[in-house]
Amino acid sequence: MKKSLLLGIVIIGLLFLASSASAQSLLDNPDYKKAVELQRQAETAYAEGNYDMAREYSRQAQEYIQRSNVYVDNRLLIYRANSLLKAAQDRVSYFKSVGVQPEYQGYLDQAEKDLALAKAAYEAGRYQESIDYSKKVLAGIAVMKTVQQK
Amino acid sequence: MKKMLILIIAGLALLLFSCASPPEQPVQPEQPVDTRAPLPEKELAEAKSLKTRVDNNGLSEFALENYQQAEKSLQDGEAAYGKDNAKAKTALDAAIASYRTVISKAFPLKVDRSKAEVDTIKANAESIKAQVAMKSEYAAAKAKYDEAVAAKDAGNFEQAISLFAEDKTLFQNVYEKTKVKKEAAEAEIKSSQDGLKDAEDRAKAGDEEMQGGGQ
Repeated sequence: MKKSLLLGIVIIGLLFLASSASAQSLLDNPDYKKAVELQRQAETAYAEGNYDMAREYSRQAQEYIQRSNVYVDNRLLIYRANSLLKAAQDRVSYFKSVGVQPEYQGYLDQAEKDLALAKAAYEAGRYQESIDYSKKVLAGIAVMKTVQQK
Repeated sequence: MKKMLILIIAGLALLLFSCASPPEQPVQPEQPVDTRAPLPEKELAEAKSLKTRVDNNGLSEFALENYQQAEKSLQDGEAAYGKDNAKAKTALDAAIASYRTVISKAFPLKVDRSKAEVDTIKANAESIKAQVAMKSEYAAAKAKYDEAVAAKDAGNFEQAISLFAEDKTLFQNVYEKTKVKKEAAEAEIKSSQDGLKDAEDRAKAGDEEMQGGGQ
């Protein structure tokens, strides 16, 4: 009884952690937080009449806003590269598992090569390149038909 | 006939008498000029000196009637000077008295106005926090202000007016520079506010894309 209660608590805890991780906003990044803090300092300095400091804080805030934007863009790029790679991988696996009509075998071979390049680019951190290869895979596969299809 | 002749002669005589001009009045002798009185040199110099003081300090508008009296008396004094020295002295004494009245009436009013002008600009500067934004320049203007107020309180009106005039320029300068700084800070803050809003919008759109499970 005691063991099952403990297990229940652990499961609830893990679920909570998983949900909070997935709900984490792109704004939860240190650069955005720093920008918000600097903006607050700028407004306080302005209210006190310390206009030089207000300008300086605002200028710094803009630097951190830029960094935050770079972070957000990068996270999105990784997410898109990952999603497209996964989709390309699933499609190639599917066609490989079910087989394609002989006239499409060349397309499948090319798709496998492009998929390998997409994976390599992703692992090397060249996310835009990975996206381009994954899109190529998906475009090539879109015309293929399985052996069951006529 | 004889009677007739007598009547005609009598009539002619009457006519002649009536046409005759009246007897001339005796000519009044001119008033003798008092040349024995000394030239009122000291009075003329003092009246002119007081006038300069009044004009240089712009006091006339604060006691206009007295000023006009003083001006008239000075003109009269100068007109009689060297011709009727007693009359000139009397007029110049009156001018001196009137200029002194102008000075005693106008100086406190003029100082009050000078101070009020500086107080307005000082308040404007303080309302935009010049004491923080332009600390040393504000401190210099405030020191001059305190000096001017001290001169006023001590009755040194001319000094006070001069100091307030200098201080007006200082505070005006402090105000203008503070305003420029304030507006520059406002523009920078607005720019970072816009930047934050844009960053939030981008991040929210990204969150939606990622939580929507694809693009």
